[in-house]
Amino acid sequence: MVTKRNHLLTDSVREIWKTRNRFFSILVLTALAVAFFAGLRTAAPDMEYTADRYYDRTHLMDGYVLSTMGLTEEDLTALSKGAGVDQVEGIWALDATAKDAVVTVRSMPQRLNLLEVQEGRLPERAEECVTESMLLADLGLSIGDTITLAPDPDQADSLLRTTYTIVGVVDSPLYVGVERGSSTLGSGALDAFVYIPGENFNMEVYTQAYLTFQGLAALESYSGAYDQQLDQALEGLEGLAEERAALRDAEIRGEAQDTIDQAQAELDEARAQADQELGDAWKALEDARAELDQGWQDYENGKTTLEESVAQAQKKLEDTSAQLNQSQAEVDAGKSSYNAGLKEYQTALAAYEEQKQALDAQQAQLDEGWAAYQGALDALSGSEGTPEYQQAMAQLEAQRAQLEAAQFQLDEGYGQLAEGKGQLNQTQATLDATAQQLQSAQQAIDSGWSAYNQGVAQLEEQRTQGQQELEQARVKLEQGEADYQAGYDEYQSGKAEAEEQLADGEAELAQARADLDALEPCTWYVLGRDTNVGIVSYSQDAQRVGNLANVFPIIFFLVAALACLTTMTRMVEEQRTQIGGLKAMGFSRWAISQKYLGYALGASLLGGLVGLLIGCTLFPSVIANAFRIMYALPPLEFKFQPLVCGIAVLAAVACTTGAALAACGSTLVDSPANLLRPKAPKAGKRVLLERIDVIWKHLSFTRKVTVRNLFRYKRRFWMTVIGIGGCTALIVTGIGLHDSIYAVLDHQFDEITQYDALVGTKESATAEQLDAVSQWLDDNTHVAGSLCIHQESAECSTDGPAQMITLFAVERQEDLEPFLTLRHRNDHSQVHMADDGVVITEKLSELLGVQVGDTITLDADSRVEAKVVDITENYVQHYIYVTAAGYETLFGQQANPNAFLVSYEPGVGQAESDQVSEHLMTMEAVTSYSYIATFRDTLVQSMDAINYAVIIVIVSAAILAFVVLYNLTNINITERMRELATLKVLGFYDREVSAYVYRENIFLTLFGIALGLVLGRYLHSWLVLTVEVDRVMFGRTAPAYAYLAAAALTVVFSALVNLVAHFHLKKVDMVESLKSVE
Amino acid sequence: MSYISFEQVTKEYRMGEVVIPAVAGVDFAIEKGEFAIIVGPSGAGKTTVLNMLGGMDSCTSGRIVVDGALVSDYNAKQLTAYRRHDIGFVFQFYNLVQNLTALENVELAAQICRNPLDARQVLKQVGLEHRMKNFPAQLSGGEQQRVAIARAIAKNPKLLLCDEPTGALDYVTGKAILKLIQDTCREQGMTVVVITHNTAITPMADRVIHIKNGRVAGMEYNPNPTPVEAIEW
Repeated sequence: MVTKRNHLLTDSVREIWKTRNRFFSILVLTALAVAFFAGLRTAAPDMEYTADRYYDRTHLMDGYVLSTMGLTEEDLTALSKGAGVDQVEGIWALDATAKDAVVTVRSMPQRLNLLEVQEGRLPERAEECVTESMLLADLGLSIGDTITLAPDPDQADSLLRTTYTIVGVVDSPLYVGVERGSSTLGSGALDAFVYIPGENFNMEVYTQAYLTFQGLAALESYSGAYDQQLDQALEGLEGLAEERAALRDAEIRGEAQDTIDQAQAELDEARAQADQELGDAWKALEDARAELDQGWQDYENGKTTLEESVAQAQKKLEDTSAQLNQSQAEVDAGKSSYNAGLKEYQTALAAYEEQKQALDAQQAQLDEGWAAYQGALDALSGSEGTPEYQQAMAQLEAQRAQLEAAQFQLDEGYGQLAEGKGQLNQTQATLDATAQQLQSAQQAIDSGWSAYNQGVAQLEEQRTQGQQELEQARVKLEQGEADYQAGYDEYQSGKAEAEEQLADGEAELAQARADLDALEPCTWYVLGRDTNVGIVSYSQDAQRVGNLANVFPIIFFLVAALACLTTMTRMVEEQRTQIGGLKAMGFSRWAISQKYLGYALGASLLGGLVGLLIGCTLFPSVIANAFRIMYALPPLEFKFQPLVCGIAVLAAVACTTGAALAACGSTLVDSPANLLRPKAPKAGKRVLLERIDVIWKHLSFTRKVTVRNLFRYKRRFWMTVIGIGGCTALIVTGIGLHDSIYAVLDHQFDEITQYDALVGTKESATAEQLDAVSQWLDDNTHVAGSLCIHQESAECSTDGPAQMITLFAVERQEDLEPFLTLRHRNDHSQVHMADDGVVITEKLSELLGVQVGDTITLDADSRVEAKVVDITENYVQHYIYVTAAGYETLFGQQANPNAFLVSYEPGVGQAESDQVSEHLMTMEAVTSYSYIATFRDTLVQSMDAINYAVIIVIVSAAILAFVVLYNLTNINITERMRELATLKVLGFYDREVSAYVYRENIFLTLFGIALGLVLGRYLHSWLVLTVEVDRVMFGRTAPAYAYLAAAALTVVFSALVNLVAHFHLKKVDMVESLKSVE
Repeated sequence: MSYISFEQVTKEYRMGEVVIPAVAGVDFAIEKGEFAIIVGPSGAGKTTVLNMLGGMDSCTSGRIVVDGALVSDYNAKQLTAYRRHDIGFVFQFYNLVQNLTALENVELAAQICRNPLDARQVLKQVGLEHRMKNFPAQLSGGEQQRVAIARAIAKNPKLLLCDEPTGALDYVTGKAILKLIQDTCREQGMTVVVITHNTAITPMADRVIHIKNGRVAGMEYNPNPTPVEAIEW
C-alpha cells in the first residue's frame, strides 16, 4: 500500500514560503482591517459589559421613585409588593454647600447602589462620611480631614450633624459621569456627592426610593432586552404609583385640613374671649363716664351758687359805695366853697398886706424925708440967722409942711387898714368854723369807706374760698376725665389690637386654605435607570467610538481585498502552465484551486486572528482608558463577542478568498491545452494622450511605457491609488484630528477666552463690597484688567434635550471685548450683541439646530424665549452672551453683577494666580475663583485620551501605506521580471531600470496622494463629528500642515518602498529574459 | 589576436554546498565580421557561454577578450556599459516591450547608445516598414523577431548575439530570420554569434563551435558557407 501524500499541499506550503512577502502582506492587511473593525466594534460592548458588571456588582437600581411629597415607610412597603419589584430602598438626600462646592448629601446605601471604595473605608460612625476624589481635589482636602456641610436654611433642621470626618473616597454607580445634577444652591450645579450615615438625617419622609426588578440584573444593562423589560416593569408600577400618590395626597391634605380647622377653632375662641373682655372694659368706661358727668354737673351748680352770692354781696357793697361817694361829693362841695372863701380871704389878706407894705414904704420914705429935714436943720444950727439960714430955714419949713401933710395922709391910710384888718379876722373865724364842719363830715365818710372795704375783703375771701373748693372739684373731675380718656384709649387700642390679631389669624387661615387648595396633587415619578445622565451618556459615548468602525475598516477591507486580488491574479498567471499541467494530469478544478484559495484563506485567517488578538485587546483598552478620565468606572473587562469577531474574520476571509477565487476563476475553467500554451501577451494599447501629438512626441520611450503601463493595468492602478489615497486620507485625518483637538484649545484659550480667571461673588454682595473687590483687582500689579459681569447657569433648549449653558450679561459689548473675543469662525468678522436677543456659541447652535433669527428657550430663574441674534466661535462649553439691557428685557429683572472677569499681565502664572486667589477668597463678597489655565490643563488631559485613538490611526495608516506600496511594487516587479531583465540585457543601468519602475510608482503615489487629500478632508470632517462630545466643538477643518504632513509622510513611505524595490531590481537576473514565456 | 577570444573560461554555480560546473574551461576565438554558430545539446553550457559573452554574467575564471577589451575583468557597471554599447541581443522569445510599437521598441534601444542607426531605416531593412506603428501583440512571431533583430542592429553593436533566434518560429519563418541575420552579417560586416541546438544550420556559418558538457568539443572553420536558402532541415 502506497501512502498517499498530498503533494499539492506540499506545493502550497512551499509556495507560501517562497512568496512569504506577499503572504505576509495579505496577512498584515487583513490583520489591520480585522483589528480596526473588531477593535472598534468590540470596544463599545466591552465597555458596556464592564459597566454592566459594575452595575450588577454594586446592585445599581433599575429605577427610582420620586414623589412631590416624599415617600413614607408605607410607600416603600407598598412598592416592595409591586409587580416584579425585587428590592426597594429609601434614601434621604439634600443639597448643601461645603466650602465653595455644592454637594448632594446622601444617606449611605444599604442594599442598592452600593459604593466601591477607592481609598480609605466606608463610614462606621455617624460623624463619618465618604466622598469622591473630585471634591477632595477641588477643596484641597484629603482623607482624615473634616468637612462642614451647610444645608439650605429651609432644611437646616434636616441634618442632625453638619461636620463630618472624611474616611474614604468612593465611586458610586449612580455617578459614573462627570455631571452631578443641578441644585438650587450656589451656582446652580452640583459639584460632588457626599455620603453620610442615614441616622444623621432628620427627615420625616424619604427623598427617593431606589428599586430593582426581578430578573433584570441578569440582563445586560445596555441591551434592548433590558430596556424593554425595564419599560414594562416601570409601566407595571404606574397603577401603584397613582394609588399611593393619591393616598399620600389625601393624607397630606387631611393633615393640613385638620391643622386649619384647629386653628379656626382657636381663633374663634380667641375672638369670643376678646369680645367679652372688651365688653367689660366698655361697661366700666361707661360707668366712669356717668360719674364724671354728674361731677361736672355738681361742679357747675356750685359754681353758679357761688357766683350768685358773690354778686349779691357785691351789689350791697356797691350801694354802700354809692352812698359814701355821694356824701363825699357833698363834703367835697363844702370843701370847695370853703376853699373859695379861704381864697377870697387870702386875696383880701394879701391886698391888706400889700397896702400895709405900701404904707410902710411911704412911712420909710417919709422917715427918710424927716431924717433929711432934720439933717438939713442940724446942718443950719451953726449958721442960724444968716440969710442962707433963713432961706434954708424957709425951705426947710416948706419941707416940713409937706412932710406933715404926707404924715397925715399916711396915718389916715393906716386907719383904713386896721379897719380892713378887723373884717379879715372875722372872715377867718367863719372860715375856721366851716372847716371844722367839713372835717367831721369827712370823718364819717371815711369810716363808711372803711366798713365798705371790710365788706369787700370779706366777700373776696368768701369768693376765693368758694372758688378754691370749685377748683378742687374741677381738678378732681379733670383727673377723672383723663383717667377715663386713658381708659378709653386703652380700650380702643386693645380693641384694635385684638381685631388686628384676629384679622391676622383669619388671613393666615385664609392663606393656609388657599395654599391647601392650590397644593399640587401628589405625584409619583417612576423613572428608569435610563434617566441617569452619566449611565446613558457613557453608552452613547462608547457607541460613538463604535461609529468609527463604520467607515474606517471599509478602507482596510477594500485595500486588503484589492491587494489579495492583485497578488492572486499574479500568482495564477505565473503558474498558468503549472495549472495546465495539473489539469492535464487529471486534478480537479477544486483540487487545483485549493492552493490559491488556501493561500488567501491562510493569509486572511491568520491575519484575521492576529488582528482579532490585537484589535480586541489593544483598541478597547486604549479607548476605555481614555474614557476613565470622564467616567468613574472600573478597569475594562473584555467580553467574548463571537459575532463581531466572527463577522470581522469572515469578512476579511471572504474579501481575500473571494478575490483569490475571482483571480483564478477564469484560468481554472480554461482547457489544459490552452493553459499549456503561453498566454498571449496583453496587447499594448494607445492611450488618449497619444492622440495629442505635441505631448506624446516629446515623451521619451520610458515615459511612454510608463503612461501606457499606468493605463494598461487598471486594477493595479486603482488598487495603488486607493491604497495610497487611503493612507494619505488616514494620515490627514489623524493629524487633522490631533490638531482639531489641541488647536481648538489654543483657539479657545489664546484667542477667544482672553480672561485668565473668573471670580465669583455672592448674590447678596453690596455695591461697596463689589467695589472693594474691583478696587483691589485694579490695584494689583499682576492684574491687567477686570470686568464686573453677571453670570448664571441655565438650561437651553428648543424641541430636543436641553443643554447646560453659562450666561454672561454685560453692560456693553465694548467692555467685554478685552476679555472675550466674539467673532465668526469662518471669516473672523465681529459678532455683535444686541438688546433684543442673545448671542450663542456655535456648538450650542448645532446641538439645538438653530440659526440666527431663530428662537431658543432659556430656563434659568424663569423660563423665557430668546431670539438668537448671532452665533459666535467657541469650542469649549456652551455660552450665551447678552447685554444687561437685553437680560432685563428677557428675564424682567436686573442683571446683578456676581462675577469678575480678570485678565493678568503677560508672564503671570500659577503662583501669582494663587496669591491673587488667596487674597480674594478672604474678601467678603468673593465666593469662588477659577483659574482658566487649570481648566485648560484638565481639558488637555481629557483630550489626551482621544489622542491615543489618533496615534492608532496614524500608525495604522503608516502600516497600511507601507504594506500596500510594498506589495504593489513587489508584484509590479515580479510581473515584469522579463521586461526588466530584457532592459538590463539591452544595457540599461540599474538606476535606469529602477527609474523605469519608479516613474509609475511616483505617478501612482502622487495621484493617490491627491485622491487621499480630498478623501482625507471628508474623512476628517466626518470623524470629528463622530468623536466630538457635546460639551466641546472640535476644529472642523484639518489644517494645511496636516495635508502637507500627510503628503510628505506618504512620499517618505513611498520612497522607502522604492528604495527596497531598488535592491530587488538589482537582483533581477538577466537570465530571466532567456526563459520561455510561461 | 582574435576579435573575440575565450581562454580557459569556467563558470560554476554554487547552490548551497553543491558546486555545479556549467562551463568547465572553454577556449575559442572568433574573428571580426564572422558569422559564428555555437552549437550543442541542451544543458551543454552554450547559453552560459552566451551569457558571459553578452556581459549578462561574469565568468568564474579565465579570460574573455572582445575587441581587445578584457570583458572578464569588468565590474557590474562596466558590464552594463558593455551591453549597452557593444552588444546587440536577439532572444528566442523576442522579449519586445509589449507597450511599445515596433518602431518604439527599436528606438528604445537606440536611445541609450552612442551611435544608433536610424530606427525607421533599420525596420525598413528588416522588411517591416509597413508594421512600424504596430504593437508586438499585433505582429506574428517572425515579425516580432524581425523587430527584435532591428532593435539589436539599431544599437550599431560590435557584436550581434542571437539565442536560438528560430526556436519559437516555424520552418519558413525561421529560415527567413536566419537569412536576415546572415545578410546583416554579410552586408554590414557585423560579427554575429548564433546559439542553437540545431546542427543542421551549421553549414551557413563561417565558424562553428561545438559545445558539449561545458567544454568545446570541436571548432571548425568553414571557408565557404552555404546560403541559408540551400539548407534544409
